[in-house]
Amino acid sequence: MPDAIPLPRVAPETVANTTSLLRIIALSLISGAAIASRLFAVINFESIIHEFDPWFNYRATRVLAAKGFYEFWNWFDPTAWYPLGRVVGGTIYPGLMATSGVIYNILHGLNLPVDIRNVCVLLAPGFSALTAWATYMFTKELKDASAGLIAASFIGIAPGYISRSVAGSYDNEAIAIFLLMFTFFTWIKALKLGSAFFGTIAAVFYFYMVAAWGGYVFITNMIPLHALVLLLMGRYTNRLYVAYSSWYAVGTLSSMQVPFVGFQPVRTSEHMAALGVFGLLQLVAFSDLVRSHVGSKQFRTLLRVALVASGILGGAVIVLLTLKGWIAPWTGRFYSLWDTEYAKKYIPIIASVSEHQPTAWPSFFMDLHVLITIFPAGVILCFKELRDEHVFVIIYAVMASYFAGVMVRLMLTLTPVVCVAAAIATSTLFDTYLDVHEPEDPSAENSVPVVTVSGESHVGGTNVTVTTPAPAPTPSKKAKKAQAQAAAPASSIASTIAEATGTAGVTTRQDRGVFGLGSRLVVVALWVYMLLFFVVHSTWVTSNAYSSPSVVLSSRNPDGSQHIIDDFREAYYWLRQNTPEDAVVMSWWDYGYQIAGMADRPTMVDNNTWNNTHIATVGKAMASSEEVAYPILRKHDVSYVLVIFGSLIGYSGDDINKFLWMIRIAQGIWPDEVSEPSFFTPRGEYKVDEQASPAMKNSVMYKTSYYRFAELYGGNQPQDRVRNQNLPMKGPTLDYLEEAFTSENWIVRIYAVKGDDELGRDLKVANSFNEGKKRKRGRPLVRRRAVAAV
Amino acid sequence: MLLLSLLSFFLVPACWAISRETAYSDFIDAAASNGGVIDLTTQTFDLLTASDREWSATIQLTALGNTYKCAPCKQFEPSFKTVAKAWSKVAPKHRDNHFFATLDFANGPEVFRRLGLNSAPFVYTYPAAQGDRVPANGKVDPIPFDFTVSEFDPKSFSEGISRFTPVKIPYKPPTDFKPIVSAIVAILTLSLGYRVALPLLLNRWFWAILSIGSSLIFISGFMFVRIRGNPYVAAGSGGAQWIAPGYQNQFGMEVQVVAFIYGILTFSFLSMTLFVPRLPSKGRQTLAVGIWSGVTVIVFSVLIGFFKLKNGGYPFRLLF
Amino acid sequence: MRLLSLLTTALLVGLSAATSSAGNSVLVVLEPKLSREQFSIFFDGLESKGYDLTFRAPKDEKPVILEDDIPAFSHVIFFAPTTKNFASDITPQSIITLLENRVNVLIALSPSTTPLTSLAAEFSLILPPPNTPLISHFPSRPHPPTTLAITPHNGPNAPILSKNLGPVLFKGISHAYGENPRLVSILKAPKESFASDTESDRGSESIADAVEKGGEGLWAGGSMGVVSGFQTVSGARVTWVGGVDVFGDEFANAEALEGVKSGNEQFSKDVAAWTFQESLVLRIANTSHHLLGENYPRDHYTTKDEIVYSIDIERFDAKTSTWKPYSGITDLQLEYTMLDPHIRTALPPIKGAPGHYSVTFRAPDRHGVFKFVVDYKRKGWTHLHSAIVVPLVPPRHDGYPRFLSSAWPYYAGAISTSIGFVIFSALWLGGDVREKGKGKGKKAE
Repeated sequence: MPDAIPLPRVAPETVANTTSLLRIIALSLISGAAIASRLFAVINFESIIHEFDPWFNYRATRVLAAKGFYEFWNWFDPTAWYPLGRVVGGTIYPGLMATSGVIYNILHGLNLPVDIRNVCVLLAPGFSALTAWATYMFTKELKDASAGLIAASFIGIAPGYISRSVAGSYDNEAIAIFLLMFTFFTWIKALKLGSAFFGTIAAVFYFYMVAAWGGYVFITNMIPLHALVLLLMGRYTNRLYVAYSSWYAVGTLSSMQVPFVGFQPVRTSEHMAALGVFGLLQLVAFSDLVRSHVGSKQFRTLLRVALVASGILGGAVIVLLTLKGWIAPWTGRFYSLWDTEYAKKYIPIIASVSEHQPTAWPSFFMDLHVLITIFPAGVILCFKELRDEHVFVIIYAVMASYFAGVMVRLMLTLTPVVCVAAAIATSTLFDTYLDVHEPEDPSAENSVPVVTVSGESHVGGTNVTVTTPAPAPTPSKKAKKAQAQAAAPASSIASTIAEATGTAGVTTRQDRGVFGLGSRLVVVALWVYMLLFFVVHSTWVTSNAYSSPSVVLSSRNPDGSQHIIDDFREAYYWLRQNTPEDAVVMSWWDYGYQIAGMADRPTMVDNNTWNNTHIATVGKAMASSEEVAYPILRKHDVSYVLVIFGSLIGYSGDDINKFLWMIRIAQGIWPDEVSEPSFFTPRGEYKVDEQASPAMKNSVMYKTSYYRFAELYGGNQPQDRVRNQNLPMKGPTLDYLEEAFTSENWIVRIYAVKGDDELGRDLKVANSFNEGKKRKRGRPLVRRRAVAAV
Repeated sequence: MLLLSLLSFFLVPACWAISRETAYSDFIDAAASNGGVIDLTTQTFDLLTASDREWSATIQLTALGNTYKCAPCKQFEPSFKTVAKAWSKVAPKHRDNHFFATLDFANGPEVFRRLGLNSAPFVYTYPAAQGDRVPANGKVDPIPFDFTVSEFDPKSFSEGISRFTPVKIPYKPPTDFKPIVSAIVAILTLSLGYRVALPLLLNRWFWAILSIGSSLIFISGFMFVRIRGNPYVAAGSGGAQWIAPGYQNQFGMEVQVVAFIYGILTFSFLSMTLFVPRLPSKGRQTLAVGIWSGVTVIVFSVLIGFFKLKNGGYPFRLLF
Repeated sequence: MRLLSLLTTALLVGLSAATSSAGNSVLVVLEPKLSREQFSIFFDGLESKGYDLTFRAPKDEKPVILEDDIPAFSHVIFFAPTTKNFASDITPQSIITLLENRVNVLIALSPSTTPLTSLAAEFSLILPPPNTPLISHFPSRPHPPTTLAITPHNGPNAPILSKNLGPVLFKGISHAYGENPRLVSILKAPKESFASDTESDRGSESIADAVEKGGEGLWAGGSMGVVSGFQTVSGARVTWVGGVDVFGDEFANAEALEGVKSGNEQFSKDVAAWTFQESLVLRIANTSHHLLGENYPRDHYTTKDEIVYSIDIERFDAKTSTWKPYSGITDLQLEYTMLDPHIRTALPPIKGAPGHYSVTFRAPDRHGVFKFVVDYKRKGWTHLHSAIVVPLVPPRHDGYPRFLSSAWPYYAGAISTSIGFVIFSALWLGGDVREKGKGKGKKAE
């Protein structure tokens, strides 16, 4: 049969070696790309820890590196949640800190004096390389090495994953995605081989995942779901039994060693699915065993009935325990994934977090670009050859796309499966169009001329007449021969390449294939272009959207040069250098970790939002008038109040914009002291200008934000550049607080809480006295009324 | 002259007292007659919210007249009625201490003016100002019911108001038969159409379409629209506007459009991968390849353009 | 913080050789109407005690009482009851600044309105309308009705005035008390006294009216005060005297009633002693906390620890002008506080250890940032306040009991399972070839 292009003859083993070499080179290049593309943040700004949670992780890691693991485990942080304090060891996933601690110690063991900060900053990029490798292995199990390579390159640069793993975003997700993919890989491997060994490896990495990220619940439910579906498809095998049992037993036991998790795996509903499937598998295995030994039909039916009964019984028991409260119902954060109204109504804190918002389609496209369009195709291809592992990918795809739709942050779990599916699709495409074989062209068949030549030759005196009906003329025959000879090695090479790259068996059948170079070139060129477009897109998104450490902001000067806005660190360092060690700082919880990390001062609430009441207390203090707030502040020993104020330079993420959440959360606890409607104008608008509601104008948040702001405009109309509203010409006044510090661009404003008045007067009165106001003459307190009242 | 004034001076409090007495019984009767809801006018409103009231009252200020085009009013009206009805079932000794009343804008515009309301509906609860049911914190001024945290449905409304009533409002949401019925129907259809359903359920492509469809819908922001309750299209300037402005926002119609675009791209890709190689002749293959590549390029550039609409700063483009 | 400042100032004082615990320089602002001689007994008494007095008229520029908010004297006496306007450096605000710098002030008032009367309101003293001196017609005495003979009676726990003091002659205005708890009543008005705008009784109807109005504006009776003390947050002391003549020689030498010598001399001594931080002055010498059985403080304690808290209190002894340990406080309390006191216990004096108060208590089973708070505020006495912040942490990971007897079923289960596993695998591996092959086949199928 013909080929599109003749191939040179190469020895098969050479081909094999070259391909493996190329594979290694490709992988290392991909890792390089993955790491490099995450370094924009460091290059544009500096080697600094990003946004909010990472600051706590960084702080914890410093403790770990300085004091060792046991001290870290027993670490009680008295500066967090003042005055409640926080038992850090028991309330975090220590995997991240432990990892960077180990790396740090190894490096120092090798006499490489690396600063722990740089370890933390560069951890995420490093692990992204590992993620690429894990994805390669995973996809290799699904299709072949070439698909694996493509998948690795996708995950390496997909913005959906970069968004959580740029250098400096030192968060649990940084290592969690690698663990996710590698656990899945080992699970698939264990399932394929039915080996308890790989099952145990999966369990070990599952344990690592549990220690690293709360998202481990995703694995805890994905694998049982996969097993269940396989059972329903009637695909029960001993391989499944061995893999699942070994994974579940070892994984659950080890996961219970993490202090933060403790007995949840047997006490909460998130983990019940795994347990149930485990039990189900035991039943099925048992019945299978019996069936293989016992012949009698009645016994089998009896057995089947018994099994079904016991299964129902088990389910009933779990339900009963849940109702009894022995098994905790789903935690709010998890439950809100299903009942999407739940969080909004009952846990405003969860609803208030920006990364818990649902996802609009542009973010999907922004994060995955062309991959999102071909990922369904990949899923379809998985349906085409429906091996067990493909079932896994299919389930994963559907579940992850649902979760990603509900919560922005779960885009992270969708990205790997999209990359895998897209890679399967793309490599199938390239397999089809790069395969040099051409099928027999039925229309071309009859065009071959059939000429019959009858030749006679006389040799010597004898007279022989030979008439041979020639099937085809000699030249054509020659051509055929030549072709045949050419074809043999070529096809062999092709097949070896096919084997080496694992494409064998896809397009070696005769009835299909692509004709001619033209269509090959068109399709290949088109998709190569598409992928290049994807690369350009990812680079652009990474450098522009995902590489800013929200600690340092940047804007463009008129001349296009970069202007760095460094107010946060300015203010935090002011606190660090000008306030006593034990000065408690009250701010909205978003900034708790940063204050603790950069200013090293006790904070009232921070990003670990475990105590709704305490946060509501802060919300109430911010939302109510000074007179009401002052006792709260004094009770909690607060000496400084820190607010974020963006109106001067138009920084939209400021506290006035978050204010409604503070009000809502406070209202949840004190419904008749704080009420949301009173902060809106009668027309129901959220305004900060002249028409702002009195509750709004008297609130501590409003006063501390706009205090002396009008003076900036020197008599002109002061304007709020975030809300785009005109502010009152006369700004608010403060009696119980006094301005202590305001950063360069007014983003951070810090106020000191005044102490008791020297004479024990109310501070308002004291102020009016200091301004020399006369108070009206008093009269003796009427004692008789009091007597009457008693 | 002087006598008259004196008379009036003495009479005013008397008749006031009388009116209050009668008013109270009138309110009870009105409530009883009208399914627990008193229809107010300005005068009766003043009586009901008199500063020396010994009862508490939950008053709905609404504008049901078609001239006002107040959709939320109409939306909320029934749940107010149902809750009031539920309240009228309570034992009289509790029931007569709390009234449900409604004041339509048509009957009492000056009340709206007085309260500074220029939108509707509003629900104010007036606690008892005298007697033993005065709230502990002594605040007797009206408390607005907060629609922002709880919706219009009667359940949350009755929960919200139960804080002020002497006893909890005995409101039970009507048992919802929909899921039960649908479940029964589903079971029946399955058991009857077993023969039909089985091969379908056993067919992998059925499941394939199911899963692909769902993920396509999800990745086009279906859940966003669902959770945020965004409209299908918005009535913008110059007709319906179906593209929500802003990067983090979208309308219902965009879900369909985007899902459709994704579907086309997926399909063209699949046909390039799976179907083209099956075509027996070279010419048809070349044609198909051309068509599908064209479709891919064009549709994808449409998608990019759409994305540029949502995200202004996006620098790249394909064809247009 | 406040504790620290209290200690340091006290220390400095210890060095200087004065009878006061707060320094010995006194500025007397004496208005021209009055002469030093009228008060010779009082002033000489002070000087004999070791104070050095500086005199100045209200109008004089020098010596200033405050230079750049640094007080030049440690005590100030205002004998300027009728002065309408002072020099620029004496304003109500500047007097508050004095107090913030722990300068003690003695202020004499009079029926006429002055800047100082407006200041009185800040101390929640409510003065009667202008020109309404306190008068009383009982008991009969050789004095006009505006001169009262008041028999002082001490609060039992705050002996500002010395015992068996004769009746004190007083001439001036009374004042009602506001709600400020920092006020200390030193001398109260007699029951039958009232404020009236006239010497004669023509004003008595107004009082009758006032009584009719249910006490509204009633400037009469024993609830009024004539001499009152006030302790500020930083510990300075202010004394308001309704009339300057209480300190005068005339009253000191006069008879209060027939045949009864007036107690004015001693009274003014006592008032000065209290105001200038001689009497009823306490301080916290030392506080310490440690585990029972240890003797050094921990930087954190564990829940349910047995903690010992002890505090040493000293009292100033004016005679020797030294600080002596003081065990006389019987109602001292310790609060172990996080937001609210989790433990509030008596802090009794220890026998045999003078001035040493100590208590042992069990930390609550609630981790957090706790404070040892001692807050002792008694009328007349120096207010004592001390707060030490020490975190209370949960037990360490190895701080819990390791083997629980109640857990034996689980231990038994685990052990039996592992033994069973060992036996099973032994049998499995030890089984003959055929069986093993079968098993392998099963596994690898």
